[in-house]
Amino acid sequence: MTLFTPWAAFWLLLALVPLLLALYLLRLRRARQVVPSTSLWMEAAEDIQANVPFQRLRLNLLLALQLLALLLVGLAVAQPRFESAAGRGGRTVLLIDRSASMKANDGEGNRSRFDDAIKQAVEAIERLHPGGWFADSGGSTMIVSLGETARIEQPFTSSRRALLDALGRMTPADTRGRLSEGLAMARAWASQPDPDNPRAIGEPARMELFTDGGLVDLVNVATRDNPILVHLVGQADTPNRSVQSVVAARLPDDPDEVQVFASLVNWSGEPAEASVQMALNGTAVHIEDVTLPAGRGEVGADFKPGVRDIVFTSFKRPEQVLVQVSLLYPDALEVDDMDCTVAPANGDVSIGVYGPDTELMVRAMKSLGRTQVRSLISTEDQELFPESDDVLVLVGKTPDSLPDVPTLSVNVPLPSRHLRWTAAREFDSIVPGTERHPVLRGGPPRDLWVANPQGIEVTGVAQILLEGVGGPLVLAWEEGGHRRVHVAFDPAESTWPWDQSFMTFLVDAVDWLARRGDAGGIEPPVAGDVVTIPLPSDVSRVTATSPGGEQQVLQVPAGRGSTQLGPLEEAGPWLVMWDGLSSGHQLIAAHLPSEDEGQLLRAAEIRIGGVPAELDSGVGRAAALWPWAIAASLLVLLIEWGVYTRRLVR
Amino acid sequence: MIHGFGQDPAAPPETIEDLLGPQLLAAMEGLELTSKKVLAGKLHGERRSRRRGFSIDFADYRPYVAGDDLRYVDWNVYARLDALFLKLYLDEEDLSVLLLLDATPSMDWGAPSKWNFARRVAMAIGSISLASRHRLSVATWGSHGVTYLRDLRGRSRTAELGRWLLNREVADADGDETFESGTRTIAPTRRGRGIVVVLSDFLGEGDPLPALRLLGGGGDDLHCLQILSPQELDPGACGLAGDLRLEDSEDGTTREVTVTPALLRAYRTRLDERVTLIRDAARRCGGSHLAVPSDSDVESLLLDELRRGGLVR
Repeated sequence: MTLFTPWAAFWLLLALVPLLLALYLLRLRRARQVVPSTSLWMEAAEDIQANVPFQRLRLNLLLALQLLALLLVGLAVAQPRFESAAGRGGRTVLLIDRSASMKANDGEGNRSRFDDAIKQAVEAIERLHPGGWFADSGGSTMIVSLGETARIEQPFTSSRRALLDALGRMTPADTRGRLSEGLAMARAWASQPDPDNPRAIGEPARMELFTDGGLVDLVNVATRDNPILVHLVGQADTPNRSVQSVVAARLPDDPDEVQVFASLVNWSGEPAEASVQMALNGTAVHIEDVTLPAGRGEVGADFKPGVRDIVFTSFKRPEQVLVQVSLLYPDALEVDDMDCTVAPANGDVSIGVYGPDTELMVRAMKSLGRTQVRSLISTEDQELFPESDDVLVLVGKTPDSLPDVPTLSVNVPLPSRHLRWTAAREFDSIVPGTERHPVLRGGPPRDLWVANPQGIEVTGVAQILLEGVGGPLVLAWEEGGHRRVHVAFDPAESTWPWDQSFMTFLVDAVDWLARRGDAGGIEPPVAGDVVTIPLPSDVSRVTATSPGGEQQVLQVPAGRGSTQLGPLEEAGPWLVMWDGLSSGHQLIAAHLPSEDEGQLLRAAEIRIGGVPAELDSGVGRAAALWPWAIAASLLVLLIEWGVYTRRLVR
Repeated sequence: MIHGFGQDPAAPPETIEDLLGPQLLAAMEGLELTSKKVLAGKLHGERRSRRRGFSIDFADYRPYVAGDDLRYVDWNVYARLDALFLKLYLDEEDLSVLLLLDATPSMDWGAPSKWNFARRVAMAIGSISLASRHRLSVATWGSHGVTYLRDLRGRSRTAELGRWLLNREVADADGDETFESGTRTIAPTRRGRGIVVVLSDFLGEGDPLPALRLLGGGGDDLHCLQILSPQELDPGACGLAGDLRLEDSEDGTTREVTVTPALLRAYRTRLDERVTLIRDAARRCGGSHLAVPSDSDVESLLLDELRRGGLVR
């Protein structure tokens, strides 16, 4: 048992106990009454006696009971508690999982896991920073929330109020939860708590993690010598169903026709019945009853959920359409019962090919289908770039400035601030890479030899899609409000045209640049991602509406041509609108990572970095004893009253 | 101090009429004191004695012996029997009545005052006694010691008795004269035998039996009138309440009490025990005991209570 405010109790008792004793020592001034004889009158021994002068302190049951009651009140003021191993003092970091799985309502009274985590965190703060008179925890606490990225909700402080306020502000997200970044952040703060005194290195901070065990990197986190006390929330055997993914693809033979595929997942060892609904732009168009197969394997080891893929009947919709697939009967985790995607509008792409020798590229572009290709061979035609073409292909000749249209530049020194041109190389060959990009949806070339590639040094945000031994070979980025793809060699001087990946590259590159088709839309973001939205250069104000209906206004610097939205805390359709001369809007379907967050089942043992985690069993959890002390005090006073009354009526 | 508690608002008696009013005097007409015992006295009185004497009531014969008074020889018997017999008559003796009044400070308490009530009762009994030509003595004991009024006889001494009673006071001064010590002073000076009436509250501590034996052990008729005020009999009903420091009127000792129903019950129990103790002691001495509230009517006391008790008839 620990007394949180012993000094308060000490001062209280120091003041009150002598006062009570004085009441017994001082004689009560009584009215004088002459009687014939006092021999018939009993001594009123139980009476509290007079004020002046002092009298001898007599052994008195009432005094003993009153002293006992006073001591119990003092004990209550001292705030006694039974504590767990994690005590007060020092520095403590509370790591709170706010990932999507924490929204599961499998707690007591259908409370969410996140609410349970907050409740336990509040208890931890009350244990670490008790309130009350003269309360002094002697320690400081930091709160870090764990989502796709970690966020410091409250830096180290000893203020109980600030910590509770920080907890009150927290909300769960639809993102994954990662521990490593939060842990690194906490360690960085804990090892150097005072920015004004960089040399102040203290004891390692205590880590307390509030999670349902669904953090995606628990296995990979190194706890070092600083164990983490885990407060588990949620049930270990909560079943769940989720719409894991939705894909809307236009049919190759009829691009106006959209085919929707959905993948449904059953996170349970038992088969499950479900009704699936497909809605287009918010209007339900199809409902289907399906049976989801049971999952297999051992939870926490090799559990594989039951997966059911559904192909919905195709429908004709040439314009952009929002497709939502949802399970009609919600389960413990509602947020993963729906997934959505956006099918971009179908239409021809206008392509201008600029250069001294455009014939080969014009013919290649025309072979892609749904393209209108024209050749721009004179310098004066540059002025036509912005208005006339969806995509500009630069072949062998460089414009003076970066065109205000998406560009596919081939072996030309494009005036980009993200690239720096160095000496050309004699030849190069690609090295295997893991980068995935819509431009290479068809896959990279298996083997590629290149003659005289450009020497390029990436100085900005350009993403290298194909990399040779000597440098980048294919890059993609966004600049000037438009997408850019650059090929750093002449395909005619490489083996690429003889590889089938060349044509798929051209198709996907044009789609991506023109924002058309599957590769053309924005890469379907996952909740927690930051999305870059290309905008016309005259746009200065963007309004983003979340799936929940909350709006946020983004200011765009003049001429920037893009803005960033996110991290997207909510999964679902986001509507981005902008005004200006080129007003427009864009739908972004943020995907919930249900493949990670949908599994609510949990193994009996939580391992962090391969080491079994120390779980807060709740047995040793801090329990406030002051209410019991108050109750005992009241009971003693009741007994005292009973004794007093009994003496009166006896 | 609780205002007025135990204080007699009435003025003390100042004249003999205050002690013995005309109505009471009329009611006492024809009353006389009685004694269960036939007692010898110093003077011939109106009380028949067991001693053979010179009254007109014949008692017995006895043979004549030399020296007998020849005036009492029954010559008719001598004529018939030729032997001298002496006629014996019951002697008529006076009755000695002793009234003992408790003049300790505890008597000067109550509403009505126990002291005033005791003086009125003493005046009434004394008047009856004087009217019956008994030899009356009155004594008080208290803080001022023992005072006497001895050997009054005849109706003409009634006024003297009244004045003497009116002049008696309950002294506030501390004194150590208790019932027992006062009795030890008074008893040896007793002349004759007859009736002893003790008027007291008997609230002093200690066993009253030795003192009562001194008074009743000589063959006197002992009557104990224990006078208690209504405030003593039921202090709760008379307004005694609160946290009090009780001061003994006699020895000044104090006791701190909180008046509660429980305390009042305990007090009543102790008072009853005290009354029982006095009654038992009086009976063991061959006497009687009567507890009398000080607010009683003296006429009713004489005609009813004391008549039933055998003191008057």
